[in-house]
Amino acid sequence: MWQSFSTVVLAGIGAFIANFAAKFIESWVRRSQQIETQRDADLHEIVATVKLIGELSEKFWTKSAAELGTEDLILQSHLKAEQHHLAEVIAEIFSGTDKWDCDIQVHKLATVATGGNFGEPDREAEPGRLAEILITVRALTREAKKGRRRLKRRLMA
Amino acid sequence: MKTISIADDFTKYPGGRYKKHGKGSGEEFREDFLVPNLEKDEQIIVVLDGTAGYSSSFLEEAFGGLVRRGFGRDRVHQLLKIRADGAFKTYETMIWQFVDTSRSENLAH
Repeated sequence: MWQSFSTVVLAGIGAFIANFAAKFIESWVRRSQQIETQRDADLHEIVATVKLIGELSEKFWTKSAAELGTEDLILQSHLKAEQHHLAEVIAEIFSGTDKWDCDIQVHKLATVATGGNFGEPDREAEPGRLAEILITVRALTREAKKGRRRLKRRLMA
Repeated sequence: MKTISIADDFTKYPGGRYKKHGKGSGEEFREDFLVPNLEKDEQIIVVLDGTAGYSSSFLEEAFGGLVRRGFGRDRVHQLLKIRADGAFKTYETMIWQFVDTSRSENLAH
């Protein structure tokens, strides 16, 4: 009687543990997958933002502030906002050396895209900056992709 | 040690490089907030958080401009501390690169 009772209890405990373990592993795998998906989304966002900064710079630096009129102020705001967003996403996804490597490229991009006479009403067109901006856009994209590859992959993701 | 918040004490919307072209410039911030304190050899903490981002021209003029104005790099490093969180950390890195690469035009200070 006692033996069959303990068998039933132990079987119940075993079933509970097995069930619990299965659920635990399932949620752990799901969480790992979510983190990896989020990292991929962050990388796509970085690449898209960097590309957009290149496109905005094309419109901004090929004309003087006077030629652009109020469009100059709008493009300035977009460039600053995208630059800030870029720094934000990079700070969220990367840390340590990977962040530092990206930050170096962000600094280079910011220096050419929102440097010089950026924000001055007497700014002249500087199409010469474009080549450097587009080179830095490529370099930053590459650096972000390298950083993403180096992120330690979550187990069973 | 004095704490200066760019967003609270100066402007939430930092602008371009020069004062002559409007409010919120890097030159204005440097001349009205940084220089008077550094001249008194007072340590200052500049808080970057809370603004609508920074243009490189603002940061270069405000902080790199200190070296051009004659403050030695070592003195700037010694007296100036930056506080920044999250995305604003990137601007901190930029500031120190501007300070370290800016050329001195005046050795009076």
